[in-house]
Amino acid sequence: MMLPLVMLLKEILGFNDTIYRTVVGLGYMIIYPGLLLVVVIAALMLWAERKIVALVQLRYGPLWVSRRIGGALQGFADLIRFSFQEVIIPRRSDVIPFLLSPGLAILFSMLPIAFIPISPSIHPPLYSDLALLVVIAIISLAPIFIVIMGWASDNKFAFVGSLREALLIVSYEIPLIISIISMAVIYGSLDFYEIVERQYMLPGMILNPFAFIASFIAVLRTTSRFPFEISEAETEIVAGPYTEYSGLMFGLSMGLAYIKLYVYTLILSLVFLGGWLPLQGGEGFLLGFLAPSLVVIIKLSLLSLVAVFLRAIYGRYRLDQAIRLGWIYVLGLSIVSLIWSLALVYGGWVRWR
Amino acid sequence: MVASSIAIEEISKELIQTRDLGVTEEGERLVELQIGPTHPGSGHMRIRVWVDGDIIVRCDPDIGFVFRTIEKLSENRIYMKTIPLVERPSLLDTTPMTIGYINALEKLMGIEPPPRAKYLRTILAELTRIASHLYGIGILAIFLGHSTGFMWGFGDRELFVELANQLSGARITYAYVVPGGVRRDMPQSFPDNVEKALRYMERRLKDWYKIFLNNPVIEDRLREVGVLRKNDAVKLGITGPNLRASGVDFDVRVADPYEAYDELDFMVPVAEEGDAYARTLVRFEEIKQSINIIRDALKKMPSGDIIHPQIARMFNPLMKKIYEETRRVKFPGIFASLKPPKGEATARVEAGRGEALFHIVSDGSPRPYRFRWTTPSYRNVILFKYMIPGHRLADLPAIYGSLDYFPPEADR
Amino acid sequence: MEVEGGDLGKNLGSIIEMAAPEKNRYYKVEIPKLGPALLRNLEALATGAKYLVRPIRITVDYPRQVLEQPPWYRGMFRLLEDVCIGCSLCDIICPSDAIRMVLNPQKKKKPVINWGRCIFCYYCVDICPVEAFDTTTIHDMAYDRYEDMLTNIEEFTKDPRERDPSKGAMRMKIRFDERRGFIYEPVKGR
Repeated sequence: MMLPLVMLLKEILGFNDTIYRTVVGLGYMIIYPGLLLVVVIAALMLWAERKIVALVQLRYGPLWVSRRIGGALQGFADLIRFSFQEVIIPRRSDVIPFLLSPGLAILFSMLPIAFIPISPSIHPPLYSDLALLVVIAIISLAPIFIVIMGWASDNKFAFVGSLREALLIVSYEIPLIISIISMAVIYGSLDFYEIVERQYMLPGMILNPFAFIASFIAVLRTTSRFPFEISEAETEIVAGPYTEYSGLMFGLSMGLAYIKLYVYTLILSLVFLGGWLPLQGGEGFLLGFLAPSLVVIIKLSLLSLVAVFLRAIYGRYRLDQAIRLGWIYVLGLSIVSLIWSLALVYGGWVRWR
Repeated sequence: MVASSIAIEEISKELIQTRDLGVTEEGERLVELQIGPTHPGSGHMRIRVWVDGDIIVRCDPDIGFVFRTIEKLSENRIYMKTIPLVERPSLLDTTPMTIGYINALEKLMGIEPPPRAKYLRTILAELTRIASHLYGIGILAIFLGHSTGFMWGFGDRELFVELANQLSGARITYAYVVPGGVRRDMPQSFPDNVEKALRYMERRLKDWYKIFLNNPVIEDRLREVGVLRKNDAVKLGITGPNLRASGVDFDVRVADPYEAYDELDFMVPVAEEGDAYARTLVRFEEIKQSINIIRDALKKMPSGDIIHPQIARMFNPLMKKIYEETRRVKFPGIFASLKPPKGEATARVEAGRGEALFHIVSDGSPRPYRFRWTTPSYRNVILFKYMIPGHRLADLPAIYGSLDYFPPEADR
Repeated sequence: MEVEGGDLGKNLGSIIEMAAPEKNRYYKVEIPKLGPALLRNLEALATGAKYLVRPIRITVDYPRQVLEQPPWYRGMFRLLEDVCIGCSLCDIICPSDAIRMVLNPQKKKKPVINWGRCIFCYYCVDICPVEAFDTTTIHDMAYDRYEDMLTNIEEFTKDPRERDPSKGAMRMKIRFDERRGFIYEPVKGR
């Protein structure tokens, strides 16, 4: 399929390696697994969340939009509806940060996709062997724009929401970084290809369960899943930092959480669940690129579905309770995971060639 | 944690007068938040809070948005027309309100309904009590962000609303109680349906405990939050499950029985701690006790008339035939010009949220001279002023939901 | 909590307790000793998962499915003009002044109704000494303009069943069930 096209492309472009890599890189970032796939998965995850929660809550969930497939196009219908609504900018808000921060937040959330491989054969556009560290560094910048969103709207409720978000960022990013780095200690490398290859016997979930639990809880907080939906607590501070947004800006703000969920679960499925294993990858497009990437997407979706299912179980924590949980239990768990992985490596249980 | 309360009281008094932001002792600003009528967590009222960081320093409830002048309206209407009016404010437990009004009217008229009518009124009152408590727990759940509790509260309530529909012909506003008895008798399938619904509710209460009351997140939000001590509860005049969760043994159904409650076998739950968790637990236990009351009433239901014989005497032949064949009570013409003798009468009932008081003054004409009506939510609203300062901002929905305060009922 | 009132409330609690006639009707609810948090979390997750596998649904797919109400459900009604004797009792008793009397061409008083004001309490139907109202269970009628809700005698005698908005829908009957709450079954023969 694509192999003859690629051969054709190579001939047309005169076998210019740089242009070929640029085109493939752009395709990677925009079509698959970049922007288009992110939008599709975010919209489907929105629908899946509402349906799963509705199953628990004695009702049906969205059913009307595309009845025969159970209303699966509801997320896209919402996106279209938001695109046609008027964007209202409050007069006394700080206009440039107000308009730019949702876009910048999405930029910093989606930029790590350029570093993350999704199959063993085609390299991501910005491939580096320090990819894990770079990815964590970039994606930790995204929550700052939520604080800017709330500060730029001239609204007391948005202000309270930003304060809550700022306090929570500090409490939960540190355990996340420590847990992920402790996994890098076990694997002995920051390169995604080596991380996935070195899980051939046991996935990272079993090698270091403490890191898995700590990072999963931190991911729940970052994407505002229950029970940590504190910064946008509807019945206390209307919508938190997103209060004054309407129209497409509101759609972007609401989609931001799902985009971050996608990227975080992508990282987690590569580091903890074994990535594209047990498929080893091979020649050609179908076996080398599409099939392993589908395995990764399935593992990613499983993690996301567990994360969205928690909406039906939990209420939301109070701010000081969540901060206490973060600083005592989650940070403690991540430090335990670091000590565990150090013990595994220096005790001789884990050894790489 | 918070600056000394005396300084805050004085500064906040000044703030209220000048309506300006001021400074606390430590030089920080107080932020005034208006949790106003168009807020997802406020209901039909405005709550003004002054917040120092995350601690609420002063809270002022602003009620009266749903004031419908029912007491004044009733002075221009004949007695029968006020019955639907009395139902409307407290839209969840409508039957205790109509029972109270009709009890006061019957005391003025000097008649008593037949026993079967009393039992039917009691059954409907307990069905609405279960529905009202499920509504209250659902609202508490959504205030805490627990959407499953919200949906379950309203979904389970649907069964009881449907049962009341089978009994009376309407889902929420029944207008079922008339002076001298009730309007319809129960259909043949009613006892079976009630038994199935009660068993469903008992089964579901186990799941409720597992997913809501024992949930660590909900327990963290509700424990030690909004503690109401026994003396303060009595001083402030609190009623209902809020009072019983603070350790005071008082329930109008036991202390001053009306309708069929003195013949039925039930207990009343009382808790000691007085925090939000105790109040929610008391409401769950009251649902269980209402299930017992309904079962007992169905077992002990006497047969006979459902309307007072003096009123049945005024039926014309067509009305008498309808009453004997379908057990539907037609109104004789006297209802359009009911003239109770001169005097005053008082009645108390235990509505879902507490004690309601009805006082009618009649001067012998078809319209009451004065109708005074106190609702339980009106007596509980003072807790907003006294209990909330000192808690965090996120405790405000938790306390609001656990008090089960319903603004239209308070405003009448 | 600082409450004014001095010493008044200190003994009120005990006074109320002494006055309560039936001490043995009240029982103490103990807040139970809850287990470790981890187990309670798992129990909550398991309860949610149980409903994922065997769900209960209480919603009715309105407007494709319509609930069949019992025959005594208070819906719209119409006037039987030759039965009505013009006694005006329905006008007197209506709590919201929805029914009022007008003169028909034969100079007899007949009622007309304003559906916008009617609260469907059926006081008028129950007070009518000659049963001049023919009742239905239709409750979901919709009007385009406010003026359509005000009827005259001719419109009030028209049968609402001809204008039934849920005519094409599947009618469902409710059956109470212990596990599932409601089971909706289609009504046969319609």
